[in-house]
Amino acid sequence: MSGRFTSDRAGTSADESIVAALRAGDERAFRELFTRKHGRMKRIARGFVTSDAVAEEIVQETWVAVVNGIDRFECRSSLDTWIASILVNQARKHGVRERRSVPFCCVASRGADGPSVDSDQFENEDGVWPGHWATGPRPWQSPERRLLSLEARKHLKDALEQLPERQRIVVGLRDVEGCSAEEVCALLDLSEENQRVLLHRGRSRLRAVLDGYLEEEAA
Amino acid sequence: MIAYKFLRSGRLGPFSGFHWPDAGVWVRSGEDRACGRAGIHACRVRDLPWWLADELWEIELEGESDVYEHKIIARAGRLRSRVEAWTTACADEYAEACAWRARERAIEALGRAGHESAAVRLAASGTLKELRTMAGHLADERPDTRISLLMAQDAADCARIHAAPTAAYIAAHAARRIDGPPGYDAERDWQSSWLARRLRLDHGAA
Amino acid sequence: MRDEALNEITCREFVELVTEYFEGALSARTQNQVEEHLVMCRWCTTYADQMRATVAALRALGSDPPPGDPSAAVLAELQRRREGPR
Repeated sequence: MSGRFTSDRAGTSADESIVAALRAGDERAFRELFTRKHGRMKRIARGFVTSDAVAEEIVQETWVAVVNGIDRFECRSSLDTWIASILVNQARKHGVRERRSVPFCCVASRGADGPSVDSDQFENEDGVWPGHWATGPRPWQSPERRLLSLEARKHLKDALEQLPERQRIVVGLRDVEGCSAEEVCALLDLSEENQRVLLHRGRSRLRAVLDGYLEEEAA
Repeated sequence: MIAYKFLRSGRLGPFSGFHWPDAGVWVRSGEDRACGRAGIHACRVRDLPWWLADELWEIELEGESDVYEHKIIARAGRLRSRVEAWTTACADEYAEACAWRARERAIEALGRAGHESAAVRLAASGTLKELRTMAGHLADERPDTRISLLMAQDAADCARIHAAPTAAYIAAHAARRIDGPPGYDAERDWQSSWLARRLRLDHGAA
Repeated sequence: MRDEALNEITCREFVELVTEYFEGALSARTQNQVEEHLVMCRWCTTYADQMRATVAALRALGSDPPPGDPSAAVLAELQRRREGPR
């Protein structure tokens, strides 16, 4: 996967030559950059809005802002980071227009979402082992293979789409796009802890969905 | 300092997945983050019951180390030699020994509750299968000692499915149920002594 | 319920700590407790494996669809730059 966003690193010499090319209006250099980064940018944008078409619009608007603003870019951060911050701003504007969007910083306190696993899966205080699994999870058979099927991928994509917005965006950035925790906190203005809470809740729900899917599929 | 280290088959760190090099080659923390957060994890003889895994190695540690409740974390370490006596058969033997210990705690619980004949019946079980069946029956018949009996049953089940660390955990908790926290500690001490004796571990080691 | 006297965690606690564990965000003490728990709890080990598999499956979603074309607005701006100030 190419085009990984990096955070807070000053521009490299590769960045400098791309920036120079864009400033000169070099269409070939632009198209290379565009092709390399487009897919990832679209997936990130898609995390903020409800349709593919709007995500595409956001990406195109981002590129316009990048090219129009390239003279102001000073290589203090990496080019990737700069483009990402423009993208997130554009995406947020669209997200706000589409629906009432709560700022990321307002993450509900820990536990308000409910436990990651239903309480009835654990023994209560009367049990032999209070707090331990009453019925534990069954190992998934060949998950590496089965989760790569088209059907499983669709199932997972659908489940990801249905996550609450903030969980969807954080899981998308961290796990689908491979951004680091630091990058995501910087992009979304989140504390480390809040970022982790969102990641945890999102992953826990998706694990449960995949568990149900794999069990059904095996039956 | 000489200590011990459990690894997964193939000299793999159980949590880090770090692939340990051949014996004699130093591994230094900070050089390879994959080798484990904050250093080389190892254990003393007294810590062994908490960390059972496929392979047991003697490990030489170097530099400053931090001592935690059940482990040591050092700056550098190298594997010395494998403790060949620690095999799956040995682990099964250990698990079974722990299951019988859990039975002793259940017998004690029955005795304290005045259920002498039930205690005799439980003591008569000769195999793990008999133990788990009898403990289950008696748990229904004698609900006031149900927890100790079900612990013995669980320990027998774990020994039968080769889950040695779980059988040991259960035995320690069964002891705690009878004799409180000192009972737990004494049981864990018994477990580490069993391992040290059976595996002929050097008590000059950590 | 955590048994403070024994410094152990339960399975119910583990499933809430698992992400912090993967992130390396636990205190040394809690990380030790988690690892001790995983040694003896096959179910929590399974749960952790499932979380890892979930993350791996998410990663595999990140393949690039073919991009469309840049917009006319971008191409026009690039052309303007090539032609330079008139």
